[in-house]
Amino acid sequence: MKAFVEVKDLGKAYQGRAAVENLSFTIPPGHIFGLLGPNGAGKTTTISIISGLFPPDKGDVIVDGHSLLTHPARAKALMGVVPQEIALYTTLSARENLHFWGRLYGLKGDALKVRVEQVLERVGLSDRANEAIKGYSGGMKRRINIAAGLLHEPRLLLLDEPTVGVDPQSRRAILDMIKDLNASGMTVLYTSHYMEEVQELCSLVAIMDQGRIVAHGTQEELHRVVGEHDLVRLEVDPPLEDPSFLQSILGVFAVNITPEGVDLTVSDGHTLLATIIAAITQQGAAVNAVRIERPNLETVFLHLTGRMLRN
Amino acid sequence: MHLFTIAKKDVLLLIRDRKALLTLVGTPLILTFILGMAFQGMWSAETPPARVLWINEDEGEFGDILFSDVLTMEGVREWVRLEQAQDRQDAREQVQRGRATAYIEVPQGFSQSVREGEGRIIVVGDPASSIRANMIPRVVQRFATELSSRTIIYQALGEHQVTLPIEEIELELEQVEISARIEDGFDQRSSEVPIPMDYYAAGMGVMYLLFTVSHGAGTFLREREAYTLHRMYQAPLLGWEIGAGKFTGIFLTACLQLTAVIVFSHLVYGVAWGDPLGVAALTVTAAFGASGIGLVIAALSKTQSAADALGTAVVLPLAVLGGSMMPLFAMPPVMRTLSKLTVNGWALEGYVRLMFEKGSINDLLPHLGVLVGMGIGFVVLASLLFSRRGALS
Ligand SMILES: Nc1ncnc2c1ncn2[C@@H]1O[C@H](COP(=O)(O)OP(=O)(O)OP(=O)(O)O)[C@@H](O)[C@H]1O
Ligand SMILES: [Mg+2]
Repeated sequence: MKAFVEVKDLGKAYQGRAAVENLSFTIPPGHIFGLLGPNGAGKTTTISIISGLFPPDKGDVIVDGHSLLTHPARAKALMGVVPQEIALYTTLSARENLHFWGRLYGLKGDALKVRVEQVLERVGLSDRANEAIKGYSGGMKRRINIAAGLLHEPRLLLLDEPTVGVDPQSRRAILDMIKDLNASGMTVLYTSHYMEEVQELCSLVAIMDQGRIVAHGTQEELHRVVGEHDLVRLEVDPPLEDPSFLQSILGVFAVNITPEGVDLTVSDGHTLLATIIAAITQQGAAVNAVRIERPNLETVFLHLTGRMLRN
Repeated sequence: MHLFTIAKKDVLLLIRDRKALLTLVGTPLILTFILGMAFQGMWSAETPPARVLWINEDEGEFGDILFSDVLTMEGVREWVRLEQAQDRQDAREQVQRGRATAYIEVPQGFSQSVREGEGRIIVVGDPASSIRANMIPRVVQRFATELSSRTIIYQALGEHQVTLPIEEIELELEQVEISARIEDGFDQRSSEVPIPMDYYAAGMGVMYLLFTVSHGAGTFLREREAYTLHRMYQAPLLGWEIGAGKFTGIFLTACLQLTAVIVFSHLVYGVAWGDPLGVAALTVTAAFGASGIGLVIAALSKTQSAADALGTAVVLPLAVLGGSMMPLFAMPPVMRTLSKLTVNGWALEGYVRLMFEKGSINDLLPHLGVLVGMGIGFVVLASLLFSRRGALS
């Protein structure tokens, strides 16, 4: 399938420190592409470059055939951007904010009015649209922040952690809305450090860590990276100081200390569990709780980096 | 045009910001009232009389009349301290340096020439201290007019006896050339004693114009901190449109603030700002020049609070230098020269011309030119600073 977005070998450094490096991926039209990575992985830097906020030190982005470097205005006109921060005028009403942003995206007159009402409807805030943003709840602000990126009916929607700091109900509404928009043909680039969100939404996923893509593909392809491995999560008391002894157990691939205890990537959780618990008990610690998880994006990340997505 | 979309939004933001609005429009009006009341009646009484140097080389009686009768009349006496000069050149220099307000010279043979139908008095004034100095040419002018009309009457009486019709006397009036020759910046405009309330309406209006543009600089950085500036850069506009839009926003809010002060001070305190066309032109150019300062403050600051701090640090000295606190005409000459380096100094001087010297837009051409020039200079400087640093960092 022909790529709608082509990210070619992006590089960007801040004060000599690389924020992203050799970043390449493509998004075919109609997909929700997930960029999953922990804090500081380079997700915002990547989205900022794609949205044309600043040029990369190296590389280019092609959106529907338009190079961001040579035809920034054309490429930008195709994109709607929902930044990680609430980028709105808090003393103005939601309606005033949307009118302003709509105008900057080239809408005017009746078309602008109609679109503002449509997106207000879409994010469910029509009835409070004349109130100043500063009186809104976190979730409401998030929804207007998204609405501002939808006004000109972009063909590509960039969302940078749009659910940070919202209640579960708003989060549900936001995720459903993104699915809806995608179903109506919008291509989406979605960044998050919540594995569950990416798992639910994204048909394609790139896992980022320390400015690089460590793996990408469909979710099934990524799961295969881990193989038929399970994640065994144990609550241990007192905490283990040196868990290296667990590594010597045959079938244990990765060991990771967590605040509660320890996470292990193993070949088969059920057969190895007894051996693992015995080894820990022998060290004088008690295992208080056990959970075995099938492969997911978290285990993929753990497998590839030896660390958890959220620490 | 995206430029106006951005600027209009900035005006809306200021209108919604009740606190800022009250500070930028309300405070200057309150200060005008306080300072205006405090100095009412004091300026005329307390200002020391103007030092006026004179040389009389006339052998006849008219020169004497000017110095011993006319300039010592009640109503003039309180304003001038006459001092006979020793040296013509030295007297002129004293005026140039601001040591004396004016120098009057009645040349040799003045009385004789007047009888022959012409005459000349030289008045040299300090161009910078126009308000009090204008008294002098006015008085001399009156004297000369008086003298000329009387001479005509005498002449008429002498030549035609008593039976002459009035019309003919008036006709001849125009043919006699007795005039005071006025030098150095004295036009024959009438001058009035400045009214403190009016002066401070202009002074405070201009000072708070500076606060307005400094507030505008703050909103520029606020946009950066709130990431709305980033969002603008992600929209399909050109980079210069954003900068120009922000500048236009500062400019429009500055125009609005100054206009509000002018209108309210006129309605509430009855301040007479003078020629409306001149006031409008001066207001727009002053706002333009000041907006340039605002843009430079924005370019030099990293955060909104830094811009506010820098703004205050810049505004207060500029306000003092430009005559917003202590009147320009009461300042020593050095300070008056320094005030010519400031946007607000030029603006205030312009308003003073319109208010107290009945100036028109034509008298303001230098002011308008300088203000626009300064504005352009500041915009260029700010653009250089921004391009070196990047508007987003
Ligand atoms: N303006 C900046 N100046 C200096 N360093 C920066 C700047 N912005 C980002 N970085 C660095 O670049 C790296 C990537 O940051 P980025 O914001 O892209 O990560 P992220 O994946 O979006 O993280 P998060 O999940 O916390 O939003 C980090 O190491 C960060 O410290
Ligand atoms: Mg981020």
